[in-house]
Amino acid sequence: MFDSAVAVMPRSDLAERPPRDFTAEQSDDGLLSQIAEGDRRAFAQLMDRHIDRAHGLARRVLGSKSDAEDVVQDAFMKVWQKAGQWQPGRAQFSTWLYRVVVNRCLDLKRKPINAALDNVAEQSDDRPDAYEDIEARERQKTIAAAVAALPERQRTAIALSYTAGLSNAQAAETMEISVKAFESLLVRAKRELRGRLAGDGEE
Amino acid sequence: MEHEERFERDLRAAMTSAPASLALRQRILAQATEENRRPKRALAGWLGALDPRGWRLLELGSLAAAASLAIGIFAGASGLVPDSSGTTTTVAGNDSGTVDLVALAYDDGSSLAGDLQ
Repeated sequence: MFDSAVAVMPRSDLAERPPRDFTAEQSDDGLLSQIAEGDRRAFAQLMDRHIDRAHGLARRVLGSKSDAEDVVQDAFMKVWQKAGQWQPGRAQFSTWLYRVVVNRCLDLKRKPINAALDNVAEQSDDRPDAYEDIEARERQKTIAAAVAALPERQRTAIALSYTAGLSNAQAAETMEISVKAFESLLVRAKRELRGRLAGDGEE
Repeated sequence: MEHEERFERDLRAAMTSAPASLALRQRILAQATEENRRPKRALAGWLGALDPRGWRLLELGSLAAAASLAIGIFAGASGLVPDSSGTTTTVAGNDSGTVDLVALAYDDGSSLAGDLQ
């Protein structure tokens, strides 16, 4: 995964700095301190580590691929520009990044939306199309459509939990609410979701 | 219980998102340059005023007004705009009895009668 991200960097840039040992897994904080020095390899590694989840989160919250890509690009540019201000140990980088992504998504949502919901059918499942698989995919499409129709905060809670895979504590921190409030929001979101699916004859 | 498990499983699967595209990764990396890392420094002193990125609507408006005034003064001085005092009324009267209506329109009427033939 890292190789693919580094491969797209211009060669001249990679030659500017002495090679570091990237075989060892470095912490986000360690990478951020290197990024603060202008290390693009470290930036590529950090981006590669978090971009898929950040992108998935934005796409689920916004429902638009192009808007999600813009949000993720903005968020990573913020990382590139503000890495020097990062204070290691004070917070998890991933939580900060997801908060930036979620806040930017919510800002965008408040503006008129010009994109259609295009995130419903985007599973990348290469299994053979057995009958059960087709049925499961249809069910997932229905669920994804129902999630997309949920109120903004409920949809964000679902995306943080199920797309970004955050713990309740991390998700609560990202949304800047208490863990209890997040759990309650998630329960409401799932109840609402079940209700909508039942209305569609899903359950 | 089985229903609940299936719901959770389906929800998790439904929320799985495709990975970010290579194009997006390339775009981000291409933007991550040393130049983009530091806030752009403003040009020092009066050179800054020449930077169009710093121009605001008010400044552009003032510039437009000044340009308009300059054009007006130039046009007036060059005689492109007729003098409204009426001292140089020109009436293209001729033998056929025609009158220059443009000149008439700018004339205050005091010297008109004498010029008509």
